[in-house]
Amino acid sequence: MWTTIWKEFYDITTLPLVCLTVTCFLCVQHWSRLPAAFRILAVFLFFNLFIEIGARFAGIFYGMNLPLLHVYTVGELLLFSLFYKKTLDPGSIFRRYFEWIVGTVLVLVVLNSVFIQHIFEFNSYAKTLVQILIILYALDYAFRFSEQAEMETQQNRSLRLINSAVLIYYCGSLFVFMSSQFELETGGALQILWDINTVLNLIFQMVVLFALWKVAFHLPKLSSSSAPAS
Amino acid sequence: MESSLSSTEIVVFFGAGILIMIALALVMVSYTNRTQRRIMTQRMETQAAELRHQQELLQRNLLVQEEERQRIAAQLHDDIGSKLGVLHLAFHRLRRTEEKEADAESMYNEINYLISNALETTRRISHELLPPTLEDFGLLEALYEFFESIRKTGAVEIRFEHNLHRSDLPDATTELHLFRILQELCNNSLKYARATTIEVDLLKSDTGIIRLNYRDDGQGFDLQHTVSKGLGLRNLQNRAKMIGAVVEIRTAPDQGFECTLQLMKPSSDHPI
Repeated sequence: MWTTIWKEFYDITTLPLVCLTVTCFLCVQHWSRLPAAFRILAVFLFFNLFIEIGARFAGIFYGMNLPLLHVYTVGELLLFSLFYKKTLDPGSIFRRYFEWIVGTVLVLVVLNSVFIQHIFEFNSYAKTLVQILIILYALDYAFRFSEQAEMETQQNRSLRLINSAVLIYYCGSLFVFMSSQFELETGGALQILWDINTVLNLIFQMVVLFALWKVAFHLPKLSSSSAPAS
Repeated sequence: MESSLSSTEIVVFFGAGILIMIALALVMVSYTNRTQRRIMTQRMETQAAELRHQQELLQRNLLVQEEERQRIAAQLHDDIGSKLGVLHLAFHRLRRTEEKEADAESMYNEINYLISNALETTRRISHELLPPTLEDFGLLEALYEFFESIRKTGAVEIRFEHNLHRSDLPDATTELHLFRILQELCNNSLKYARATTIEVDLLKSDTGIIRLNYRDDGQGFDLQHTVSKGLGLRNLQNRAKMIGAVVEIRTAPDQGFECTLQLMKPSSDHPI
């Protein structure tokens, strides 16, 4: 069994996982220093780590981990929406119609899992839809931030860095997940695209680790009575 | 899903899609960063312009203040002072010529005292506003006179050394500002620092740079805290700036006060 586990983890895709684990440790250790938006991002990272490790073991023991991808898509939608709700400008359309937009996408994702791409299939439609929404959040943030020239604090610098990482990773991986519906027809030829996705994921995780590291060590510790900055 | 595309075509299609999307994302990130930097630069330039404007206003304020002092001093001396002088003489003439009753003598004495007192006060105020020695004999003589007046109070020991001639100082404006700076420093040493010794060196180096060193053994203060609030120190810095001098202040609680002022270039830009 240990050999199987070793084989499962002895892979380039483990690099982003290692980076993610380090980030999660950092978040746990410096939780009190993290502002509200970063805490939501930290929750997403914990969730991501849990799903990632769960998917590895599900692959080993059950030979199938696609249901976890459906769960991950829902979690990704909700947690990234909450993260951007905290960071986007109050006038943003995504904040004003937050419940409607997230609710509609959530319903579509669930309907896709129930009626179109079942939980034992690759949910490429739902994943693509969620990724497009996240890209739109990131674009909205990037445009508004560039126009406003807010005060150059460490928190703003880290948020900008994370947003850039989100934009690059999700733009890059959008076509990777879209291509997954052709997986069977290409007979493994799409592996190169998944390798690109792994590299993009590694870059994303490293940038997030760096941004959170900067926030954790540059912001004053928040006392229990003070409201965390968002 | 049925597809008429070969696996290579699919890989190329999605690979190109990925590259295009990454390129677009990078362009977007670069664009927003550049825009943000440009706005920040503009904001910083605006802030710098505002600061320059404030500085100019402060300097203008000091100039107006000096002009006003000169005007008041001149009026006190030329107008009120001379009138009081004439009155004083007239009173003495009256006193000599008029037949007096016995009780009028004390009244004459009282009036005489009041007029003398008013004359003395007018002269003193006029001199404080603009010491005539400064105008007539220059900074060095004015400083000797000023330090002597402080020494006479017995509150503090003053040591003054210099190696200058009057011609070493660029102009009357520089002399006036240096005098005001030393007035301000001495005033602070006496009023707030409770110093017992003040040392002043006004020295010209071989390279022609004039350096003023001022030290007291007072109680000092927290410079970081005071610079943001002290109007006196801000005025001092503004005056130094107006004559093209660089100021350096070193002090700490219970460690005295030291101010070095280095005159970098002759100043004739801001005549008063």
